[in-house]
Amino acid sequence: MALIPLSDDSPPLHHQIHRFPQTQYIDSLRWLPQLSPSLRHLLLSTTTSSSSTLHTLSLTPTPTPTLTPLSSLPLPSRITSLKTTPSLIAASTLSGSLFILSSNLNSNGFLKIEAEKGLHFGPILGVDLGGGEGVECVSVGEDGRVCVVRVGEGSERVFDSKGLVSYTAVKWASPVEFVTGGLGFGLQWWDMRGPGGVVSKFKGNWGQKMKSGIVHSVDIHPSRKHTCLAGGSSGTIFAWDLRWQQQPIMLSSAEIGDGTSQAVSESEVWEVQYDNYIHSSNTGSISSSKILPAVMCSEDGILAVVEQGQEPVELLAEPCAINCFDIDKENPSDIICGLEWESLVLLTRP
Amino acid sequence: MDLVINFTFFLKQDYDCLFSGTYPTLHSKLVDFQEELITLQVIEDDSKYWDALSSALAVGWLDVVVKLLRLHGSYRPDQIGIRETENGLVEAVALLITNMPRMRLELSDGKLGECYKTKPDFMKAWEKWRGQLTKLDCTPYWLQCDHQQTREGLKNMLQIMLGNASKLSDATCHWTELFISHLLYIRPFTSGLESMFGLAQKCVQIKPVTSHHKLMNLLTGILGENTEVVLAECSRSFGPWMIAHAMELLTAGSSHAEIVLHQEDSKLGGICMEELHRLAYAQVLSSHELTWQIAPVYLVTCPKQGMGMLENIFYRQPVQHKKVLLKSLEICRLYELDIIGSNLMKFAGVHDWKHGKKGSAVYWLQQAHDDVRLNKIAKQLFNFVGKSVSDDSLKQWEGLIELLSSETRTAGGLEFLNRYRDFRRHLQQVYAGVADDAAKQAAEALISLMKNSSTPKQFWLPLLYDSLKLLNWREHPLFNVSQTNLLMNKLQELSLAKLLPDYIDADLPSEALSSVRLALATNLGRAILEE
Repeated sequence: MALIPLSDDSPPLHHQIHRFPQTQYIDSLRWLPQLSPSLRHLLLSTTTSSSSTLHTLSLTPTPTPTLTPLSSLPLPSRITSLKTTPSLIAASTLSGSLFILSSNLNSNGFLKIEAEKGLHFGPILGVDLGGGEGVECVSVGEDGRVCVVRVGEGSERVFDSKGLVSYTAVKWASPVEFVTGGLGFGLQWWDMRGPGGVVSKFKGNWGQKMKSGIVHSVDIHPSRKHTCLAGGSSGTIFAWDLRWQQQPIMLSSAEIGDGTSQAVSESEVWEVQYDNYIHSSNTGSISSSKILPAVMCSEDGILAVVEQGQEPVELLAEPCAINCFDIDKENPSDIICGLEWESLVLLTRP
Repeated sequence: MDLVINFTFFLKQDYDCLFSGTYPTLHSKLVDFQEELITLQVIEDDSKYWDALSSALAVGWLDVVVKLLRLHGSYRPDQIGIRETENGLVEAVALLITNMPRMRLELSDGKLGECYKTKPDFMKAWEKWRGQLTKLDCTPYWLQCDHQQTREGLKNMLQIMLGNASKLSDATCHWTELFISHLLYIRPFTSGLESMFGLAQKCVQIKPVTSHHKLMNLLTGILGENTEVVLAECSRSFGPWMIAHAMELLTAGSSHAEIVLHQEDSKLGGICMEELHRLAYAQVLSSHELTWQIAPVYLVTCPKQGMGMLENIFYRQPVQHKKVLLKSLEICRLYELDIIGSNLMKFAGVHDWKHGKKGSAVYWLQQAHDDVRLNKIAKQLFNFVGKSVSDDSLKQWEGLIELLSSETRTAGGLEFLNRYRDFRRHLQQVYAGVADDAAKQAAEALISLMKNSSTPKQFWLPLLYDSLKLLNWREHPLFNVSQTNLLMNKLQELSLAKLLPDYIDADLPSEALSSVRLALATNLGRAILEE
């Protein structure tokens, strides 16, 4: 599982790790827009056996990082997906409702629900903010519905597959396009122009040995809109280049032991995000056919940077699952992650 | 001997916080003295200094004792000349303490004493050390020591090291401290738990406690080597975690405990004590949705009932939350519980099917390789398709068909959907006016569909009816004689099947059958002519 086992008492690492034990299970977490360099805000969704809550916390990075709870907002059901933009927060729940909140907190850090939508039947599994003027929210669910809501106007478009397909992840690619992920490692490219709908499908040429799985997370880099990064079952991380229609670019897989890709994990890859940190200065110099480095977290407790053709670099190897993480967009050296055993980890890279 | 040292260490490190406020302890005495220390001008004049020294020495905190001794006033540069003998005595005692023989491989940094690895070496050194103590005790230099407190204090310390029982009792507060001092200075050669229980009882008699601390009760049980008492104390005073883990400690190095704990008992349903308590703790863990995932760690070590209980825990988890399901499946993968894992996937599949999530249902049943259920739901799926054969509605099925073909081995009759989709595609091209090739391919697809046993009967007539244009292809017959015969046979079979009770009538115009018959007959005639 772990390629390089690390722990807090192993030889000094280049990055610093701070742990914040919580009293509740963490479902999801995000950085909020930075107000000042010395004060950062976090959004945390937690659950107990009886209730679910969305919290705002402030993080004081120096001298030792300290988390202070600011406010909390009770929710009717567990959060399944959480996304933020500089102005908005979108939170989807297991019971199928979608909440839109403003991400401009006032001084008390209070959260205010701007809109609530119940367009899904059953769990919403993915949500993303973007689209035209960045105020469109797309949500996908197990029920096979893809809903695009224009925040503020309240106009909505619903694509219903009537349960014939289930979608598990979604990410905007451009103001009019987004990509969805689903069962059988499927990816679908949607275009909202005209009648709207799926315009391109990725059905991987996986070969005989490969076991099918579920895409849990997708990401698209703003500078590489033609490439979609996906993470899912069996430690699988792959990229789909629209220009190379049906051939996946494997970054990690526990199923294919052909030596072309490393398996950073053997288990579910819960989240993938392009890593702005290492190559923030030289993104442009990487050949456009090469996949940019990405960070992943997994059920078997790995947080690592994966890069095409290179050994994965483990940032954390935990004895329990790492269920979610978020890279600070304004300060990409900082990553927060949520562990299965009720704790939050702040990782600061040098 | 190791035990004694570990116990001493425990006293020093941990027990003060356990008992603080409950009993007066030696540790609290020393802490109090430490606070006073700064205010004392002439430390050796104070009786508390000598009390602290003898107490620390009694429980073997040698480093503390030596540090305190070196604070003695005779060490001060302005005093050393006048108090030479006195200082010599203090230093002699400090030196003897520093050299106290200890039977262990090594000591951590800052700990005092001379290490001896084997018992004979240790015994020899011990006797020699005692000899030095006695010699110092009888030295005439004491007469030259004018400072009364120093003289008495040091003599008292020598008595402690020589194992004077009443001095040890005076120097200690709690019975555990007295117990330790006995082990250190009166019975230094004790190994194992021999006669420790008797000693403990004696110490309790000398230093009775008013209230019984639960840890003390446990300690008495351990010293008495009484597995049952230890277990009873664990379960009475501590939680199920303690008792589940106490097993590992009890069985290590005690064959009696091992027999007691590992013996399968019909009163316990044929399982042993160890398993019983692990099951009990796993039960506690599994009762909460956020801790149940830790239960498998314990259950996999329970040979008799662990698997059954684990299975139960898995089956209690909500299948509608797929993240929880995936976490369960991961545990199944780790512990190689393939059957339970595939059962969980079947549950998820059936749940999703019932709730109209057809795609997800097919996915989970495929993952579980559940051909029986896949075939069952295939029939229902076909009914659904059969009613809506238009090309528009087929578009909605694309996603599901993609999913079906993503699995290398499509279970059940569902592969029909794949072929059917191909056939419709070709047919669409034919209607769109694309040339001869498409018609040929459509015809081939039709034959392959009709040949395949997985094609449901209710599709036969609609397929043929949709293919009328192919059967009446103007340029040349698309089906040869044997192919036409095959199609005619199928039609015949269908007429017979109509008499069966489970026949589902396709939603087609009434003249459909006759027009297909006519087209087939015409095609047969043309094909014969062509050949």
